Amino acid sequence: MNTPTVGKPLTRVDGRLKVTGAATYAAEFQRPQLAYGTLIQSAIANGHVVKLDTSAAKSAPGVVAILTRENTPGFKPYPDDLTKKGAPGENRMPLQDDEVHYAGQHLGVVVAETFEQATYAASLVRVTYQAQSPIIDLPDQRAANTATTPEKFIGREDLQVKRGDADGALAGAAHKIDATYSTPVENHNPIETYSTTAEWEAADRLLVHECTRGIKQLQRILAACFGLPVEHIRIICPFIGGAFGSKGFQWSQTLLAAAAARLLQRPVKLTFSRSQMFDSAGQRAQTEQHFTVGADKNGKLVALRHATTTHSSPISEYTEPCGNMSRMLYSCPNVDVTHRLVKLNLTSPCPMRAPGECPGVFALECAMDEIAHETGIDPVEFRLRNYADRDEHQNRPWSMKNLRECYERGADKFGWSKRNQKPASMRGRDGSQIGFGMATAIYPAAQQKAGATATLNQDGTVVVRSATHEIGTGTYTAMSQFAADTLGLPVEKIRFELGDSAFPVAPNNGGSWLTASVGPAVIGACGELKKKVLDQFGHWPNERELSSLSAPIRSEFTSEPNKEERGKFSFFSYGAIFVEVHVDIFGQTRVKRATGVYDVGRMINPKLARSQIMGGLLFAISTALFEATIPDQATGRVVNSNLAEYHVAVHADAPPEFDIDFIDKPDPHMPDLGARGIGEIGITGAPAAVANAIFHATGKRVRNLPITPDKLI
Amino acid sequence: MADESETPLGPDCGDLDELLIFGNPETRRQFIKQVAGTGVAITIGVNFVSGSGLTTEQPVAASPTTPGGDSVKTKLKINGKEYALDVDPRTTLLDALRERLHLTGSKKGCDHGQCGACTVLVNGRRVNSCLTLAVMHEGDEITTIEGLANGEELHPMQAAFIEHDGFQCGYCTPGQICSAVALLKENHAKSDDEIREWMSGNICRCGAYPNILAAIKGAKTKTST
Repeated sequence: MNTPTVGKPLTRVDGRLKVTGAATYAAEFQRPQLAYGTLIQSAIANGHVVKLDTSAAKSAPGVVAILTRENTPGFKPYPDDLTKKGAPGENRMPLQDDEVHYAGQHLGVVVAETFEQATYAASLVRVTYQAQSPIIDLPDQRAANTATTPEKFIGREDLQVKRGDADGALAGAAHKIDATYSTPVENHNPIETYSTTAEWEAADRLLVHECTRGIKQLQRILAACFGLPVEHIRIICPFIGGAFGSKGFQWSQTLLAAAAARLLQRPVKLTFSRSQMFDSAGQRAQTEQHFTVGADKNGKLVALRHATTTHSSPISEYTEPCGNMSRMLYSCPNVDVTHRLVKLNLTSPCPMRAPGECPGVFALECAMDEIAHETGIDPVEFRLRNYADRDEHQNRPWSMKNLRECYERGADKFGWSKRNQKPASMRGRDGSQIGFGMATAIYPAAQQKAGATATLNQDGTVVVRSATHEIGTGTYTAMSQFAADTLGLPVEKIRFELGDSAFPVAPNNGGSWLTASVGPAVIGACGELKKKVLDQFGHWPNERELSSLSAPIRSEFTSEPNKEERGKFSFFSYGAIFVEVHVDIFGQTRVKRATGVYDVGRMINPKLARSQIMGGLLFAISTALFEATIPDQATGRVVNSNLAEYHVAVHADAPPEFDIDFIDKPDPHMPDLGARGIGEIGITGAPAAVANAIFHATGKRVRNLPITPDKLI
Repeated sequence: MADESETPLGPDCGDLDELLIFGNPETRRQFIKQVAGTGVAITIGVNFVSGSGLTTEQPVAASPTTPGGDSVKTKLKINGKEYALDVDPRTTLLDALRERLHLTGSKKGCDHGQCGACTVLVNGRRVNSCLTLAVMHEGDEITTIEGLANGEELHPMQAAFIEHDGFQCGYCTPGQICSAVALLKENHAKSDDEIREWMSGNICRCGAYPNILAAIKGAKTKTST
């Protein structure tokens, strides 16, 4: 019996492939007779196409086909569940009409023998438009005319919630704040851009290499849109170069690549430029969040009102659910959470790392800092006074909550007691203003249905398979650990395989649910396999017995969430994040230290878990200080659609001191090992911690992200 | 190309190298301005990176050609192996590596020299291979991520990246590692701050920076002892 690996800081099992360049990403599969596609995109954001002149492009060297509305047979509609009830992704079929809803919308594809030829030829396409002035801003009156108040987030979470009487309680509150926070459009910007290589292996069989974190979903989409049986579509994706919410759902490029490949009867590769990652791959919607918060003289919350306005595109109903955590993070008898959705001529939004929670908890945690300041109570103490011992929104107990310990341990490790409560009271030797800020982190702990197979081969290795994904979170490693521990084998004997639609079902990679969903399937399949093997041999077979096996021994297992258990408790991960910022005379903010203590259930692999949280915190610092996608007011086109002008945190922006700690207690109500998700919680709360620290450093309360130097001088 | 007129970069460009572009915003702006001013593809080559004119004893690989359109014959020496190519003159070094030679370890992230995922070593110096054309590199010694390990034995920097978990999705990793190898040679790893600054041309969206820093320091210790 080998010592268990769960809880041990194993290095990544796919590490060698990644450091040698041998890991193969979507755009890197060599296909015979490959042709290259380049998108034709709309230069206007609102109106319609009058004429699309491809004559010059057609005669450019190397061009083999130009796909436009005229020569593209209509696609069958997307599956209903992916377009209705506010589902992320677009509900309009590509090339279905001449309408233009946002700048960059796909109007066709130029296909040529080489990438250079396709790129050049696409520049020769002339498009004539009838343009209308685009609606770009939330406050635009024309946007207000499109406003709706959606009931649910993707058909699940209530977006309009009332508890008690917020108005009445606010009228009598001893302390009150009223503040509006805003967050800009942001783009995921994984370093790998989108890429699809489509290939028809037969007239009715499609093979797609795409960086998708929704393999089974994409398979279903393509089957529906081409009217084929699901098993005639195969999606391959062993590695994804980052996603952060992108690379899921239905966007038009997969269909366009597949249609071009069918037209040409040869494989077509369509890879996005960096600029196209800003208009063709989804984005985080901008938000405006109005908070009214009241507290009594002892610093106990009496009322909390959180009204969000956000946007979608004209061809999507997706709503950034900013208020969900405001319903229950703190104990408060009178709560009023609303969401209002308007339509803008911007590319369709979709989830981006911690959708709703990132902008929503930013605003909530800034509001808590403001009301704490108003009452004169230390921000940590204020949160402890308003600690929620049960979920007051769903009126049920937490599955497990150690947030109090996160606050206490975090404050202790950070040295929070050295903080002078007065804003603008601390200065560094270089004259910079120093501030300490903190915030709560929270993210739901979900679970989905997933399956896996496990196969013992004659050489003694066990191959475990599930149609899940590796976006960098460590799926290969964590699942290998589960398999090894269940079977009592060393990790080296396990080969975990993912990224193939032919494998057993796995959910989209999102919602921080991968480990809690696929883990039980892997554990189940390996448990069954072990039983089968032991039934046959009475012990784990030795080399000689293995080599005499007539066929590999195989097992399969499907795991589903326990509905009863899920209904009894509220499942969340928690954390407390503390930061120290220095703001120099030019208004430039540097995060010098970050201390985070997280309650995320059982640690599967502390090395990888720490990396995940650290990455989330850096993403959060980037969100707080740098990131904003800026549409041109006149044309609606993104003016900073590149990585020099859309700033993301670079190495020099990383805090010199990072202290990340975990409570590491298994959640008794999560399946098997009691692990909750860790992918997204790192980005929640931390942007507020930075904003709160900036207030503490400077006395200036900046309520609109990102907090760039111009807002501080 | 229809217009082959070579527009010189101007008197400064003898001193201009990609290392400076990397670290010095002033030079970078100047470079972009000059390139924008030329209006044609940059066909610099000679004074851009000093070629060492290495000869090779290895056989020249079979010569893939560009299907359709104009092409230029060129020879590239990559990871010690020489390749003869008929290449569209617009082809970047990165696209030649990835699409023509199927050396896909070098990654494409932005095509503008802004992310560093395409970083390779040209005559030992780090270069954004998306910002330079393949035809400019005849005679250069090009090392990609595929050429760093010694057979099965990883380069100390590769081993350190695994040990310190200096990556998550792995997509920026080849560029980070090539950049880090050059960083040590440049002697730009004297302090944490210096490493952070001189590695800031390689973006890691997963946010592995503190681990990358640890990996570089780890590799530095191992290679200096």
